[in-house]
Amino acid sequence: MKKTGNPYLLTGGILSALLTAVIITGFFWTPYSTTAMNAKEKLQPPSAAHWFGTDNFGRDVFSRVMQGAGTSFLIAALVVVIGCSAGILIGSVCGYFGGTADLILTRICDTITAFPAILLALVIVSITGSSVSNIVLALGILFIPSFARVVRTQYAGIRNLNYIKAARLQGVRTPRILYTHILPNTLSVLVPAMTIGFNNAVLAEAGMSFLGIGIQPPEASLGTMLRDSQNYLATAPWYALGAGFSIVLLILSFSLMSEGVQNLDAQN
Amino acid sequence: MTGNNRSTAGDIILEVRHLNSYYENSPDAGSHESMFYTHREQILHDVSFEIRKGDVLGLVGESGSGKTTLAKVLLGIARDYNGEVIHHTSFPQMVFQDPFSSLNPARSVGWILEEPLRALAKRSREEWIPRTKAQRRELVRETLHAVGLEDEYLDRKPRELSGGQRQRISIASCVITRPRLIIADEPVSALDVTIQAQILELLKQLKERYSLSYLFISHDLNVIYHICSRVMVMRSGSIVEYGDTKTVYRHPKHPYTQSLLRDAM
Repeated sequence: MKKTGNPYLLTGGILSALLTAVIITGFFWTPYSTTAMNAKEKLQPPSAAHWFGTDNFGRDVFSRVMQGAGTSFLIAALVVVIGCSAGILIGSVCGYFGGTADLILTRICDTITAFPAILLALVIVSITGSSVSNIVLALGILFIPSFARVVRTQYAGIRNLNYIKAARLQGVRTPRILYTHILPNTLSVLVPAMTIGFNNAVLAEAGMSFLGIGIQPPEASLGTMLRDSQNYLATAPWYALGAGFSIVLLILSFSLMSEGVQNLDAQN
Repeated sequence: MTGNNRSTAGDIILEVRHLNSYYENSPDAGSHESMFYTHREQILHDVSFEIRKGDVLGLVGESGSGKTTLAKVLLGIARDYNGEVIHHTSFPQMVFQDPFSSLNPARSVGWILEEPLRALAKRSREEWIPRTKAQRRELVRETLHAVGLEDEYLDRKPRELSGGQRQRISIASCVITRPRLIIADEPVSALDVTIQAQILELLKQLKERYSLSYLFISHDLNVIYHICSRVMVMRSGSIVEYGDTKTVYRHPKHPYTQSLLRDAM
């Protein structure tokens, strides 16, 4: 791995590492309780005691951001895992075998993509009820087509290359060709797709929670915090800034990293 | 695979009788058109020949004459044919023209050479096939030496190798499963002239060492002359001339062969 000439990977990597560290800490420990209310300290501006200030219930915004970012992070990660693994499965079969099944599956994916993902997720979650698992499942399924399409294109190209023909002649079994021979060659496209998917999932979850059909109070997520803070935008802007800034930082760091990985690939 | 695997006492390893092959000329799979109409075109016309043990049979012809299609039929890749293709020994392996796409870029040379052995161990019970990782590594090393490369190449990725080195690895990955027949489709035409000579020499050495036969496809008559014992000239899917290399080169019967030879001189 070359370090020189890849500032994206460096900044992205450092930022994501820091954020991940903060988020993981947030699972076990936060400076203040995330639910304890304190009427005396409500809507305090940022200070040494409360880095991001306090909200309308006197809760520490930084502690809630730590926890909320953790929730968002977990949801986004699970969404990517579901979307990506199902996408790899569908995309690889479509791309490698082609034919009528490919035609039908591709059309289904196109149909799903034609609807705005958040809108569909909102519908699904409002029908099934808003729990973390429902949000993850709904977003995960809606994210499948984007991965399937990327993977399909890769497989459709690679299946015709000589090293795959050679593997077939050597009698390598098809599942092994699909996932041991071809899959590692799609990573340069798959890794950026995963980081982009992660970012979209963070945004989608935040958007859903902002609209009130995501994570339910008193549990914190960056989206719910943004929604709660809009009434205090004029009097306590730090409340909204704490949550908004965290979303921006989370997405920025992963985008930078994805850019860095792509540059790394271009160098090779 | 519709070819039979009959064992005979003779030393014929591949028989082809009255082979006609067809190609479904369909637009790209996945487009709307592919579902509704295709155009079936005959590529090979009544092709008959045989390959004996130790033969190097050259297949000459211009591009589009059906050389690669014939290879595909023999390898079971193209299935739309009639006539007989009889493999009397184990299935042939193939060396491809383009050494830059014939090795998996994500894997090391060692892995690439081990893979055919892993696949073979799953479907065959023959005695010599290595069953453990250590045995496989040993055979890989031995084969790597046989194609003129040292141990240090085991951990390299294909992108770190030159065209000639890649072609050596391709050849190694063919001979490592001990086939009787190797089909080489323009194996040297993507290489520099000096490297070409080295690879041809290597193919000759390996032929003796592993008692191989080759079907050697080329459009280069000089290369064919250098390595082939017999030669077959193909034009528009038909064989127009078939015989000993020396006889064909000295006394070409068909006007097409005569013009090919004239152009090559």
